[in-house]
Amino acid sequence: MEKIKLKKVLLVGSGALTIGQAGEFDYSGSQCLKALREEGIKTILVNPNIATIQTSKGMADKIYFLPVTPYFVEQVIKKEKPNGIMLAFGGQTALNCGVELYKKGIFKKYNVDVLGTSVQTIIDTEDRNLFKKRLSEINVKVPESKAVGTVNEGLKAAKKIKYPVMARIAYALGGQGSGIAYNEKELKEILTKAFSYSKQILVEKYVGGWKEIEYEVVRDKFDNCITVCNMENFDPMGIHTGESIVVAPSQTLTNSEYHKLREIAIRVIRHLGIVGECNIQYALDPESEDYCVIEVNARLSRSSALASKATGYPLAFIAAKLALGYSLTEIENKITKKTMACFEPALDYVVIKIPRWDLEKFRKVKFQIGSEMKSVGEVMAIGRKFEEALQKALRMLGIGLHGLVCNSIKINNNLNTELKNPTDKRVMAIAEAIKGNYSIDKIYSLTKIDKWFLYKIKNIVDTEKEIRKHGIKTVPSELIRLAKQQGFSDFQIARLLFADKNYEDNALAVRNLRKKYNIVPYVKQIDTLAAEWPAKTNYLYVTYNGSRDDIRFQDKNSAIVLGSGAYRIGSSVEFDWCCVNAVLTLKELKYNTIMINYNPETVSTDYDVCDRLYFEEMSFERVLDIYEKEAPNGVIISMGGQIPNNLAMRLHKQKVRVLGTSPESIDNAEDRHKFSKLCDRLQIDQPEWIEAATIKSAEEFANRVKYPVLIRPSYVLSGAAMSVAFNKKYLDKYLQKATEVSKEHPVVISKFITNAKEIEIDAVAYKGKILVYAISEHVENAGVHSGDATLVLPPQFTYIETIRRIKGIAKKLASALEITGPFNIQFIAKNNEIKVIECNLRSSRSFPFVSKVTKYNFIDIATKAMLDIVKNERYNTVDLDYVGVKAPQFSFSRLHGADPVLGVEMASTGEVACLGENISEAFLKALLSVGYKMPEKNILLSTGTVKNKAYLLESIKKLEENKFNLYATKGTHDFYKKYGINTKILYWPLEKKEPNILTYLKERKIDLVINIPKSYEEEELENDYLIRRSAVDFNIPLLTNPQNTKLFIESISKLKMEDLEIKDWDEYG
Amino acid sequence: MLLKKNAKLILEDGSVFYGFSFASESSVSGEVVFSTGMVGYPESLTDPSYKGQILCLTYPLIGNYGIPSNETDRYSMPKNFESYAIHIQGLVISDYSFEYSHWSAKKSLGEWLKEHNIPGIYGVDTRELTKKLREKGSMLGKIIINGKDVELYDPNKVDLVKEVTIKKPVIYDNSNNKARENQRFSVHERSSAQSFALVSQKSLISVNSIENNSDKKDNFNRNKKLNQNNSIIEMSEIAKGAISCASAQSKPAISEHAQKHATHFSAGSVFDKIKIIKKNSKNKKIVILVDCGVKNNIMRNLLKRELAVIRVPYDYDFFKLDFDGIVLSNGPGDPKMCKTAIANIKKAIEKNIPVFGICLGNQILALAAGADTYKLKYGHRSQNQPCVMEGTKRCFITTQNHGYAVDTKTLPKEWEPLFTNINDNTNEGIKHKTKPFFSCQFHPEANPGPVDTEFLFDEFVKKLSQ
Repeated sequence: MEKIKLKKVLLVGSGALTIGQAGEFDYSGSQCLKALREEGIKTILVNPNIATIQTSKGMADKIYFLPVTPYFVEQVIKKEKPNGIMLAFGGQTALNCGVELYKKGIFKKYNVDVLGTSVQTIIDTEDRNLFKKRLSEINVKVPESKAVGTVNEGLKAAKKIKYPVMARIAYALGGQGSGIAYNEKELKEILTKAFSYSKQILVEKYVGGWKEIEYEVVRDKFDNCITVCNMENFDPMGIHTGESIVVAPSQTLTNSEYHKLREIAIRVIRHLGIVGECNIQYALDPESEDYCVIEVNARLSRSSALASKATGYPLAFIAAKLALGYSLTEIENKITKKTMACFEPALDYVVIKIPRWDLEKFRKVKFQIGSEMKSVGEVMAIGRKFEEALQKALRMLGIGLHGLVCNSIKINNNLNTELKNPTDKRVMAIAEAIKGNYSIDKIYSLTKIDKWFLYKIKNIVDTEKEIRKHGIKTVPSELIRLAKQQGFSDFQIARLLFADKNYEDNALAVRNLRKKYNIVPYVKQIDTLAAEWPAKTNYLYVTYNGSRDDIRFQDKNSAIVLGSGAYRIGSSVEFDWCCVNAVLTLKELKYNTIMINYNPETVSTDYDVCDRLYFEEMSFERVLDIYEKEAPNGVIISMGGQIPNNLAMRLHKQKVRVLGTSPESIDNAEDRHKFSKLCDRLQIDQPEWIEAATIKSAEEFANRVKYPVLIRPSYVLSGAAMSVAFNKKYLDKYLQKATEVSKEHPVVISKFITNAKEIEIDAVAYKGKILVYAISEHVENAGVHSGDATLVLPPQFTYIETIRRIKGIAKKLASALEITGPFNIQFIAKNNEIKVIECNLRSSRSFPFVSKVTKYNFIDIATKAMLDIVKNERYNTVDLDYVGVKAPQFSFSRLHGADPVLGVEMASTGEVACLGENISEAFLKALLSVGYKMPEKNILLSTGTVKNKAYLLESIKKLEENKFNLYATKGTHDFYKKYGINTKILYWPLEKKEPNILTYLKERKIDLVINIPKSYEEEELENDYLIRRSAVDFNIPLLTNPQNTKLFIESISKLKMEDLEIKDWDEYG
Repeated sequence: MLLKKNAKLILEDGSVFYGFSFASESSVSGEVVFSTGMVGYPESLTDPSYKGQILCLTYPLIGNYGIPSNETDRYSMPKNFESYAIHIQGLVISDYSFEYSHWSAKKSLGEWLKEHNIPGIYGVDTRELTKKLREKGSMLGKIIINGKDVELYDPNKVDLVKEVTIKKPVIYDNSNNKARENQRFSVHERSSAQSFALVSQKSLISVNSIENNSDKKDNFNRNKKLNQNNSIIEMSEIAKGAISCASAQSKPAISEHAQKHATHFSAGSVFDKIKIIKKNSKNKKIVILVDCGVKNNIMRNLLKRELAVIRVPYDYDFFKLDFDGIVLSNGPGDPKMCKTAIANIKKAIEKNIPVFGICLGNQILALAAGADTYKLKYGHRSQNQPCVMEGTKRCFITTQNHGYAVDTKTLPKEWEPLFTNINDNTNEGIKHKTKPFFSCQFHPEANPGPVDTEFLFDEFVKKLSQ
C-alpha cells in the first residue's frame, strides 16, 4: 500500500452556517475525522461552529474554536505543525482559506502537504478562465464566456456573447453575487455589486431552460474514477441548484444521455486531476444531446451530502480515505460490508430534495427564486413513486403543507407570473394550474420543467379529484391504496372525504379504515445495490409501494429519537447535535437506537450514527406507523427542537410512551393560559399578556399596558410571525399577518419591555429537581430575538443576586412541571424585576454552547435522566476561568433587499462561539468568525436616537483616541461635536450630494459601518435602510445594535490581532 | 381512475406477486431474473442475452422517456436498439409512466411491448421479488394476465443461442468512414440524426445486416432498395443474383428501414466479398464475429475501428474463410450448449488466431481452453459491477448480463484471469499468458451502461496486427 505516512492532519472546518453553506459540512467534516482516526492519525480541527458534531469531544484530538481565516489557520499551523491539511471538507470557506494560504506560501513554509486534490487543481476549477482552458484541452464544451476584471470589460464581453448573460463570481458559494442580465443596465448593476466580493467575474452565455444535471464523481490517485450518483433538477437552468427541487437519480435521461455525461464527467475529473470527491454540473439541451459543463466543485458540497444520503454511499468518508492514498478497490462498502467502495450505487427508489426557504422572516426581501441561493435548509424524501416522494417532501418542509394538494396556502401572484417567474411556491402553483385546466404543454412553455414531472404532478391532482367525489362510507379501498401509494397522508384524505373541520379525528378515522383494508406502509432498506446484495446497515424508509418489510422488528430495548427536521432559521445544526448526543448516550446504555429524521445535511442521518435510521417524515402519522412496527421502550421528543416537541400531546393520546417530561407538563408549559396560571400560583412574574380573539380586545389591552406590545401566535418557534407594535396602526397590520400564519392557534399579545436585560438558563432536571444548569446573558438588550443575540457564559454583567433569583425561579418551575430532561427558560431583568418570557421543556439552541463551554454534556445528563440514571455530581458552571461568547451569523448578503437589522423575528442563519481569557477576547474572536474585520482606518457613524448617541459617547471617544477617521451623518456629527469629537460629515444617500455615504461605501472607503436604527420595528427611513443595505452589498462590516457596538469598540481598543490567543479547547479550564 | 387490468407473476416456488398489465395481454413463462440498471430499457429489452427470461427491473420508475424512433445509424443498424427484436418473455416493474417525455420518444414502452406481443406488469414489489431471487436463486415463473394459465417453460433446457443467432453469414464493412471516427466524444447537435442518415447513405460500402431472431420468413423487395445504396459489393451481389432472403420476424419490425437493407449471402459470395475488401484496402483486417445473440453495439465498436466484420451463425465453420481474428459475442443461456462454437474456438487456439470473447464469449473461450463454467445463483445483471484488472489497482465499472460464470480455479496453466469482480470474486475475463486470446465477462460495448471498458476493442485491434 502506497499510503502517505502521516502523523498529524489539520482539518479546516466551514465556520458558521450561512445560506449556501449549511449543515452538510458538519457531516463531511465529521466523516473526515472518523476516517483519519481509523488510521491512527492525530487530528486538529479549526472551526468556530460550536453547535456541530465535529467540534464535540472525541471527534478531533484538538479543537480550535477560531475563525476560519488565513491568519488564524496559519497561527494554528505554526503552533501545531501538522504534516497534512484537508481543505475539501469545509465548503467554500475552507477552500478559499486554503487557496489564500497556498498563494502566500504558508504550506511550503511550514511543510504541510495538502491532501487530496491539489491547490492548483482547485484554482483550475475556481478560476473561470483557467477552467475553460482546461476543459477545451479535452474538447469538453462550456458555455461561451469571458472572465472580466472590470465593469466595462464585462459589458463589452456581454455585447459579444449577446444577452441574456449570466454573471458568476469566482470562488463564491451558492451562486453568491451571480445574476442574469437581459440588458446592459441590469448587467451593470450586477457587476458593480459583484466586484465588491471578487476580483474576477465571469460573463457567460445564459442557457436558461435547459435541463440541469449533476454528477458526483470520486477518483483515487490510481486513476480509478466513478460516478456515485447523478441528479436531475426539476427546475431547469436559471434556478440555482440549491434553490431547485432535485431528483436522484435522473428521471428523464436516456441511456445515451446518462452515459455520455457520465463519460465526460470522468474525462474531466481525470484531466483536472482531482483526488477525492467532486461535483460536476451540466446544462443539457431538452431537445437534443447538446450539453455544456457549468462548473466543477473540487470539494465536498451540498450536492455531495445529498448524494451521500440519497445513495447510502459515504462520500465524505471515502473522499478522506482517498486523500490519504487509498485506492477505491481497497475500501469496503460500509453499507453492505460485503462489497467494495469501488462501484456505482444502483437505486431502487427515487429521492427528492426540496429547499426550505424562510423568506417571510425578512423585511423587504424579494420572494422570487433564481440564480442565487436563498434557501436556508432542505429536506429529502424517499419513495418508490415520484408522487409519493414529492408529497412526503412537501410535508417535511414544515411550512404548513399537507402535501401537494389539500392545503390552505394561497398563491398570491397571478398564476402565469408565478409559473414564469417562480417564487418559493412554484410547485404549488403548478398544481393550481393543472386544477385550473392549464394544459401540460402550456405549463411547460411557462416553466420549462420537463413534462414528465408535470404529468406526475397531474396524477396527484387527478387522484385528489377522484377522492373528493366520495365520503368515508363510499370511498373504494383501491382508491385509498392508490392515494397512499401517491403519498397522500391520512390527513389529506380525511380533508377530501369529510366536510367538517374535525381534522385530527377524521384523519384517525381514515387511518383505521385503511388499516381495516390492510393498506399499511412497508419498511424498505437503502442498500446501495438495489437488493442485489444483503445489506448490513439499516438505512430505512417507508413506502406504500411494497408488499413486505425488508427488516424484522424484534429488537428489545430500543428507543426512538426524533430528529430536528429541516434546518430553518431558529432550528439548525444545534438540534442535530442534541439528537446525535442522545443517540450516543443511548448506545452507551446498550439501547438499540432508532432515529427518525429527513434532513440530508445532518450527522444524525449518517450511516453509522444509530442502529436504525428512518429517513422519514416526522408527522404524527409516520411516527405512529414506525412506533407501531418497532414497539420501542419509548420515544425521545425533546432533542430535535420544536418540530418533535409539537407532537407530544398527540402521540401521548395514542398511548405512545414519551420519555422524559410528561407531555401533559409540556402542554402546561406551551399553553400560555396554563403556564400563566402556574406562574401566578408560583408567584413568578411574567410580562402582562392576553389572548386576543378580536382586534378590539387587542387594542384595549395595548392601551392599558401602553405600547409597545409584542404579538405572537402560541407554539412559537424562533418568533415566527412575531412582531412588535408601537402604535395602533401597526397593531392592526400585524394582527392580520399573525392570524394568517396560524388560524388554529389564538394570538397572544403581551407588554413589550424595552431597555431590559435578557438572560437564559439551560438546564437538566430529574423528577423536578435540577441536576445541572448554565446561565447565559445576552449582550444586546431585550428585543433582539434570543437566536440573534450574542450570548455570554458565564455572565459578566449580571448581578449575583439576579443569577441567584433566576436559579430560584428555574427550580420552582422544574419542580412544578416535574421536569425530567432538558429545558430552557428565558428571562427579562429590569430594575431588579425578573420576568419569565419563555419556557421550553426541551433542549434549546444553546445546549451545545453551554455543554461545550462548561464541558459538561447536558444532553448526556438529560438522556440518562430520562432513563432514570442519575449521578450524584455537582457541576460548576458559574466560576469558570474563561469566557465563552456565542455570536450569530447573518446571511443578509444573500437576500437581495433584506433590511439587515435585528428584531424580534430571528434572522440569523447560523452561529459560532469562541473562548477567551476575558469577554473582549472571546467576543472579538467570535465576531471575526462571522465575517467582521478589525477596522483599519475609516468608520462611519450614524448612531440613532439621542439616547443611543449618548450611550455610545464614551465608545466614540475611544475611537477618536485610537486615531480612526470618523465619518458621520449630519445629526450624529452635530451631537458628537458638542462633546469635542471631530467627525467628517457625509451626505445621506437620498440627498444625492457629495461626499455621499453611498459613494464612500461603493468605493469601499469605509471599514466599518455603525448604524443604529431608531426603533426595533417601525419601518426605518429609507436613508438608514440604504446605508445598511449598501454596507451588506459591498461586504463592509455593519453594527446595528448599541450594546454590541459598545462592546466591539471596547474590545478593539483593548486588543490587537496578535493579542488573540491561539489556544485549543482543552487549554481552557 | 384508470381502468386497471389485474396481472400476476407466479414463481416456481409458489409465491405470487400481484400487479397490473400495461402491455400485451398475453400470459408467458420463462426464467425470472432481475437487473439493477437504472437507465436503458430500450437497449436492455433488445439484448438477445435476455432470450427466454422474464425481466424484473429493480429501478421502480420505468417508461419515463418512452421509446425512441426506428431510425438507423451509419451502419444501417437501428440506432437506438441492440437488435431487431425484444427478447425478453415479459417485463416486471414497480411504477409505470403512462405519460412519457423525451425529445427522441416516438411511443410509450407499453405500446412498444404490445406491438411485439410482450406482456408487462407494474405495481409489483420488485424489491421483494429481487430479494427472493437473490436468496433462492433465479427461478422459473410465469406472468398470468386475464387468468389465462400457461405451462412453466425452462429456457435453460433449450439451445437459446440457436434461436438468436443469424442463420447465414453477413459481411459488414465500413471503409471510407474515417471522417466519422472521431465522433465518439463530440457533441451531437440538434441535427445529428439527419446528418447521420445522410452519411450512412453516402459512405457505406456495404450495409448488410440480418434479422437474427426468427423462425419465420418474410420477403422484401430487396433489389429496389439495394439499388439505392451505392454499394460496390451489393451491386456485385445483385449482378450475381446471389442474394437470398433474410429471415425476419412476423412481428412488426423495429426498423423497417434497416430491415429493407437486410441481405445475406451464401458462403461462396462471402469469399468474393472478402476478396473485394482485401483488394480495396490491403491492410484491412477482417474478423469473424461468432453471433451467439450479438448486440449491435459490439458490431458498431468493431466497425468503428475500421474492421470488416463477417458475422456468422454460432455453429458456422468459418475456417474456410480468409480472416484475421475472431470475436465471440454475448448471448443467452448455458455456454455448454454451444458445442460447435467451443470446438471451433479450440481449433482457432491451435491455429493461434486472435480471439476476443465477450460475456458468453468469455465462457466459450474458457471452455475451449479447457476450463469449466457453472451457473451463478442469480447472475449479474446490472450496470455497476466493479471489475479489477488482475495485477493492477485499476477497477472498471461494467455492464453485465450473465447467469453463468467461468470457474477461475479450472483455468489451465497457460491461462490466467484478466479481470475479477471485487464484489464476489467471480471471474470477469481470462487471457492466455502468451498468445492473443482474451475475453471479458462484462460488456465493453455498454449500451446500456458505462463505456469505461471500450478500450478492450482497441486491445483486440492491436492483437490483430501483432
